[in-house]
This record gives sequence, structure tokens and C-alpha cells, in this order.
Amino acid sequence: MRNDSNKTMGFLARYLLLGALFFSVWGAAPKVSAQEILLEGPLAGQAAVRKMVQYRNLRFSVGPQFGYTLLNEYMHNFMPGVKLEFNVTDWLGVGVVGFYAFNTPTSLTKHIGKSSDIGGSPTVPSDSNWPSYTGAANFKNQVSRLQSIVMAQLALVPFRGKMSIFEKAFVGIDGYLFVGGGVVIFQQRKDCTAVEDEVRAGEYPCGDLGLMQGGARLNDKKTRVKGAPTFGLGFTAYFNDWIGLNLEYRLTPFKWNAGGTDESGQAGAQWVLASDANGDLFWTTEAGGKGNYPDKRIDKEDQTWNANQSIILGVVFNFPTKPRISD
Amino acid sequence: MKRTRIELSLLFIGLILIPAAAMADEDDMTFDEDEVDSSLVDDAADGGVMSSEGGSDDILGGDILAGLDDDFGEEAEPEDADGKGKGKAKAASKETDLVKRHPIWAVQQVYALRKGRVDFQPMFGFSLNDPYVQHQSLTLTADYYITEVIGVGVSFNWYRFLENETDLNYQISRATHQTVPINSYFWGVQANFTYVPMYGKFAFLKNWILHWDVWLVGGAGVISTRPIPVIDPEYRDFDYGVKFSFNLGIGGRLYLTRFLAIALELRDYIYPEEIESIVAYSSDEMRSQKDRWTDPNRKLTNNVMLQLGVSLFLPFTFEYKLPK
Repeated sequence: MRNDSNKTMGFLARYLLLGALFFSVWGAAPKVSAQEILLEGPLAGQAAVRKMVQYRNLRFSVGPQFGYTLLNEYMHNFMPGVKLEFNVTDWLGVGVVGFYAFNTPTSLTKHIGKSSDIGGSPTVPSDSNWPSYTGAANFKNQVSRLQSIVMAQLALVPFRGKMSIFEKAFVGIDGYLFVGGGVVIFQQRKDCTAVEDEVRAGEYPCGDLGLMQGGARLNDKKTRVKGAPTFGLGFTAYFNDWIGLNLEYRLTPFKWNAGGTDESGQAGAQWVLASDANGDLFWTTEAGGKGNYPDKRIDKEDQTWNANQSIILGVVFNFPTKPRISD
Repeated sequence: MKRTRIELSLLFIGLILIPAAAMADEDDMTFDEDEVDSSLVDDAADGGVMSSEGGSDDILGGDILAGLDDDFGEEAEPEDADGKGKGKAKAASKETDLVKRHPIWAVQQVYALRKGRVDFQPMFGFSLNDPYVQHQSLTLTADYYITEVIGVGVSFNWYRFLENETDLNYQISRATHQTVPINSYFWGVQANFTYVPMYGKFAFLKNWILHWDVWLVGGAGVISTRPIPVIDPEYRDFDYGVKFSFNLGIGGRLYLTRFLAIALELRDYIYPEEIESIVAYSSDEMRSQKDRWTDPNRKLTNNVMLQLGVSLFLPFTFEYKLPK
């Protein structure tokens, strides 16, 4: 039975500790409560979990993966791959993962590729947007294409648990974070210049505008290899002792020129449709702007960051097939 | 009254600060279903039906503050003038106190029951699949759970003034001299049906237990949108129009307390969108004719939104009945 002083103490203590909870380090306050049963309860001194199935501890895991990149601008990327990992402990693993990308054009790329002028002919570049645009017939060829990703990574597994599905099936599950690095291989338009008097080392002339306006084809991409980091998180559900299904969200950011366009600087805020004295419509940029666009070059100044987000679904096979059991 | 005050404080602070991993279930449990404390099961059987208030006096996975009640509220035991024979009695009493304060259930209770409770979800969302306009939203959902796994409810989305045109649209129009028609969203309302097929728990760093569940949601409603004039902005001006929409989604909750969770949802709102006509005219008369401003064919549009927020269950507490 409480007396008034204890009630007051309890009341004050509630609010003092409430403040301490939310403004102190996350682990400190709840650790006291979370650990209380281990400190003084019937389970004092005992491990948090007994007889846990260690799906990862000292096991190799290998299996096919399938990824799809998100927020694609010009090309969808479907990426079959493989993952190989060795788990040093139940919470730490090292491995490699590799993907090969199959590309298909997005609706934007198809839309530009089908664009036509007032006369019904495919659109072609003009002085105002060459070499940024190579024409409707070439646009699918000018955009960059992701080819493959190869990464080494470290996986940390802080979450280990189980879930029920439809209240019938029960599977073990773990959640992991991974970080690593490797290479991204992609095809991108070659560095070129439309300023014939100023061809720099490593640059090529972009081509003849007249020929492009006549519908000439252009195929001037180059395979590039770039280092890139990778990180993300994932979950693995284990359906039996050695087969699991994993789902990952991965980021592999790198810089590239996704559209193969001239992006250096700005020229006004927007291209707008204007009409001249005769009432003919033409494209023009709004007045003002800054930057050195267009610099008439396709080079590294035109590269922008691509987060390269992907969702990956895979199957993992763990060997040896029998997992260890903890004490 | 004190309970209400504390719960309101928790609600206010939880909504503002949300310490994610801190509010873990302090219950320690084994994952081995064979490990059953038969003595406690027998005790429960002898005592008939037991009921416990979720989040009240038991500190097993309950509110941390409620647990403090027991710590700070108990009177100190009065001293016994007779000091003989108290050793064993004290030990037995201490053990009883320990078991009362740290009961171990042979079959663990579900951490947060949903049946009969309303789930309020204020969320912030952003579009995932529109490369030309970044749509953002403020969403409020209210679901009533008829059973543990089935809920019905409504949701409201507010989009206006929360969108940005992306660099891609600008770069495309600059490079190719072509403009892609874009649209603006205003608001949306849906009636939803929710099903919770998955429930699970994680041990975090082998110390804390985190409970979570995954839901599937589907529904129908309306959305208000309009084209943004980009092809011929000098003449064209559009009003917001209401379109029928339906939606499908998947979401997950990570429970911080028995009534508060962090929620993440991916939902696809599908509706027939009105698109600005890409055909431009030269004469003023034709440019000013409204029936020429939009494409006669509506485009089935998927607005995929990723929404992050909290899940707040009311009432805050629930009664958990154990089997005999």
C-alpha cells in the first residue's frame, strides 16, 4: 500500500526518467529495463537466447540473385546475378556479389525515339542542341547502359528472429546491413566535341551535324569501368536448415552521363514554345540563366550522380547443410 | 487520470522524437518452442483464466514507466521485531516477489493485439516512380481492426504545394526540345481493407526483442489531379478534376510500445490520368479551344508512394486472456 510520499516520488520519478529516456543515449536507459530480468529475475546470469539455430555461423552461402534498378530514367535494368558469402560468425559475413544487366528502354526513351516534327519526319538535332541530341533515330543508342556490377561486401546481422505467415507457417528470419565496394561496368557515349578547333586530348569530333540532320546513325559508345561503393539492408527467411530466401535494398552510387547529353551549366529555366512574327512556333530558352551551357562538349562535366537503387530477390543455399545450435 | 496524463505525454513525445531502438521489449525469451516452463503452466492451470492488462503492472514487455510503478511505488517492508527464522521466509518472499515482477510465460503473449483497436497512421510520403515531378504527401489513415488480422478504414492524402519538378524534365526539354506532359496532385481519399499476414520478432544484438508485423492493403476511392501546362502554357490552364482510383500496397510496423509503432508503407494508387495534348497549334483560335488542350485518351497511371510515419493504436491498452 502506497503512502503519499511514495506516490509523489513515483510521479516525479516518472517524468524525470521520461526526460532521461528520450534525451540520453538510446541504449542506456532501456538497457536498464531490458536487462532487468537478467540482472535480478529468475533468469539472472542466463543467456538471452538458448538453443538458437545458427543459420550463418561458419557456413558458406551461395545462390542466384535477381535485381531490378529503381527510378530508371532512360533504361530499365534487369540484373540476374550470384552471391557468395562466408559467415565468420552468426552476425558477421564477408562475400562477393555480381550482376549482369539486361537493358530495355523506358517509356521516355521510346517517346523520344518516336518523336517527329511537323512534317512527320523523325526529329533531328539542330544548332541549338547539337551534340546534346543525336536525333530520334539515334536516341536509344546515345543513352548510357549499365552492363554489370561486381562488389565485395561485409554483412552485419544485428537482427535475428522469426515470423509467422498466415498464422500457419513459422520461419526463422534475420535482418542484415551490408557495406562494401567494387566496380560498375557501363557503356557511355565517348567524350567528344562539336567545337572543331578545340579538340582536347582523349576527345573525338562528335560528328557532322549535317549528316545527323540527314538521318545518319551514330554508334559512339565506350565501355567504362568505375569504382563504386555499395551499401544497403536485407532480410533472409530460412525455410529449412539450409535454404533461404533473401530480399535486399541496395544502393551503388556512381557518376555517369545517363542521357549522353550536354549538361554543363544552365541556359534559362526552361525550354518554351514561342511564336515569331509570322506565327510560326519555335523552341527557345527563357531569358537569363547561368553556367556555360551549352559548351558543345560531351565530357565528364556532364556526368551526374546516380544512386543506382535496386531491389534484389534471391535464394541462398547454406553449406554445410546442418546448422550449429547454440548452448 | 494519471494513466491518461502519462499516456498523453507518451503520445506527444513519441510522435515528436520516436527513439527507435530504445523502446524494445525487455522480455528475454528463447526461440526454442520445446523449452516450456511446465511449473508456470501448471500454476496458470490451477489458477483458472488469468488476464493481464497489456502495458499495465507487468513489466514483461510493458511500458517502462508502468514498470517503474512497482519499483518506486512499493512500501518498504516493515522490520520484523523477531529476527529468528526469517532467513528462509525472506528468501521465499524475495523469490515470490521476483516471480511476480518478472513472470515468465510458457507461451509468450503477442506483444500488441490489434482486434478492437483503431490504428491511426499519420505519414509522410513521396513518389517513387515519377521521374519528372517529385510528388510528396501528408497522409492520415484510420483503420479499425475487426479481427487480429483484418482491418477496414479510410485514408486521406494531401499533395498540394508539396511537389517539385525534377531536373530530368528540364534536361530533356533542353536537350531534345521536347516536353513531357506532367501533372499535379491535390488530394485523395480512399476506403481501405487491410490484412496482416505476417507477424514476427527480432532479437536485436541479442539483447532486445523487437516485434513487427507486415500488412497488405487494398482499396478504392478518388483522387484530384490536373495537368500542368507545359506544351502551350501561354493559353492552356487546367482545373483540378476528380478521378476514380484504386490502390494496392504493402506495409510494415516496428512496435516501440504496445500502442506505438514506426510504420513504412509502399502503396500504388492507380487511376486514369488526364494528359495535356502534345499537339501545338499556330493559330490563336485553335490554341484557345479548351477541347484541344487535353489528349482524348486517358492514361492509366500508377502513382507509387513510399510513406513513412507512425502507427498509433487506440485504446492504448488491451486485455490479454490466457487459456486455462
